[in-house]
Amino acid sequence: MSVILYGIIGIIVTMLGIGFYVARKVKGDSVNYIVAGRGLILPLAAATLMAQSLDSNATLGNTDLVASFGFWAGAALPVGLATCLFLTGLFFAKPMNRMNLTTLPDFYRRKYGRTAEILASVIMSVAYAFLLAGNLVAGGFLFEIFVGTSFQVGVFVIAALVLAYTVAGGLFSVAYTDFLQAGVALVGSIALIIFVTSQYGLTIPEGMGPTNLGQLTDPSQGAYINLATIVALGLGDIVAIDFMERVFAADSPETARKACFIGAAGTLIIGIPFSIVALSANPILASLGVESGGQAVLYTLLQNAVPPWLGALVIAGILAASFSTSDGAILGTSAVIARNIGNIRVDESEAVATDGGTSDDDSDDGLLGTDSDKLLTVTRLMSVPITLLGIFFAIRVSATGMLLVLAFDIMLAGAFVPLVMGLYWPDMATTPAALASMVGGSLTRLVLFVLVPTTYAYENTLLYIENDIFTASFDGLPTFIAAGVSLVVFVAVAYATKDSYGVRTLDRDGRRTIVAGGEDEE
Amino acid sequence: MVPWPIRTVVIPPPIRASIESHVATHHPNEAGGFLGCRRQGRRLRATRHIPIANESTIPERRFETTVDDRVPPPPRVFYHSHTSPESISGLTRIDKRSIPEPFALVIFAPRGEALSYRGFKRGLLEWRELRVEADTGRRLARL
Repeated sequence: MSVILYGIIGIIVTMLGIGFYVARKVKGDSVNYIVAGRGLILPLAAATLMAQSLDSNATLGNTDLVASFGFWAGAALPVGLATCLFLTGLFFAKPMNRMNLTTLPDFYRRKYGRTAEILASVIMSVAYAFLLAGNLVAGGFLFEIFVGTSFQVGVFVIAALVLAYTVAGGLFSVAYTDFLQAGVALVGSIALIIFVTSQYGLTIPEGMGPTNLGQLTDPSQGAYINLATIVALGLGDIVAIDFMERVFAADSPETARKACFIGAAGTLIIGIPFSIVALSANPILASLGVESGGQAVLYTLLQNAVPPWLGALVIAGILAASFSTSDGAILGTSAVIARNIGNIRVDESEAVATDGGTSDDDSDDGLLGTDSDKLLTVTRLMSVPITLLGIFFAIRVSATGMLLVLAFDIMLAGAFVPLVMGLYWPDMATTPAALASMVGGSLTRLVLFVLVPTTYAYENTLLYIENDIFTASFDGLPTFIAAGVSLVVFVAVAYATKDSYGVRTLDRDGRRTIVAGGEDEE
Repeated sequence: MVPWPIRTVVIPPPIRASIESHVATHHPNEAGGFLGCRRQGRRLRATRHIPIANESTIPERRFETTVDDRVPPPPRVFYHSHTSPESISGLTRIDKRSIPEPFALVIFAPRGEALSYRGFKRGLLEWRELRVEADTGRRLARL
């Protein structure tokens, strides 16, 4: 067996061991399972945010994009993710942690009602099915190359392993394994850049380096796409169910905020070295007389240009990144489906009342009723179909990468504005405004998707309507247009409905306040 | 089972008596609280009465509270009294704007005695009036 294979087996066995060991902490309690008992201390909260943000896209995708299109094409991924965590820490972590929420769609329920909650849940769940699929694809290829299995077997094995410890220990298992995963990724990333720099030196091809800001300003150099990536991740990921789940799980608002800042720094510290190394990858491989062919450039580099122990460490880090994002996607999505779509809210006796049961519809019991603590069981059960869906997408849909960025664009277009307005413009944030914004933004993004021939430079092979108006040079702009439509629609409808419909006012702790009266103000 | 929209709120006599006593006791301040309910087809039947303290600084003109753990789980109806003769018997503009609940009941009691019961359901865009009945099927007084 190769050293790399030993490394892969070692990281998997260690993760499973930790995941199952800490699973005892769940103790049959859904709050423990979904938000780790709201008791994550700073190191755990920061590590789990860092590990969650770094996935196969931010490592493997990052290096491939840098090697092909320049530094900012790939670095936009960790930069966007770090921006998201930084902004979350600055503006969202404290108020959201204070509200005692369990899942992100809980906020939409309290502020805008049940219809908005379901709409947000559907948007987020679909996005996360693709996030899971994308990470399973990366893991499947890793297994195919380094373990020797088929791609499909690799996908199944990784999905089964992640599902096993996630179902066992929920966010406890996820957070503790994330701590290991973030550590391995951090050490691997830093060791890689130190080795490459000292052994080969950094060779930056002309016009590809970080100082070529044309990649961020000149549309002919992909500026729209690079900026759209930063914005879609930097803002769109603020409404990511897995990030917010960790914010809710922090033991205090201050911990949540600090964890976001540390997570942002860690994301850059781990992600940017991959971008820098990738700049030199092609010259290094050329000097060794090796061609990467269709294989990921980083894999080729690790197989041919670094010592096996370092290759094993970096591969373990990439695998860990893939695991850590997949487990968060499975946990977050299954919790949202059970709690926010299934309407099972038995995890907190107060929350049933505090949430307000707003129901724009009139259902009271959800799919399975509220007469016993079913949330834990149903969340665990939901993990299975979510994982199967991820496996299906990973194996059957060739364009998971494109669907993933589209899904995150739709989250930005559909769910971001209502969250920001609900928190920072609460007196105008009406339910009709939120619903119109969610529908308007999402539909705009979908319409532009079918009209533009490429999405983030991926050729649209799924559903493209040929036309002469939108060319590939338009790629990247739909991200901004759809988010802009969402904002304009929200503001317009808010002004139109603020008097007739009114707003749901939340206090500092996220509880709704009621003001009623027999006499209107003069 | 299809969740047809609620069209009627049913308030049995013991609960109505409890509400009216609460309203009369606090008159001329506005009184309010919640009715814990059970769904029966397109009806919400009140099964318990939970009075809530008025936290407004101008209690003769406003009823203010927070939706917290005193409040029963859904389905439930928020009620409050209008105690001024100048008040309307239905939802005022401030009621429409600032009652973040799916169901509301306004009890018009200008002299402390309940003269009218009017129920409302918050729709997607506007409030819709519901029928308010005693459990005999008789409609309660509506002004």
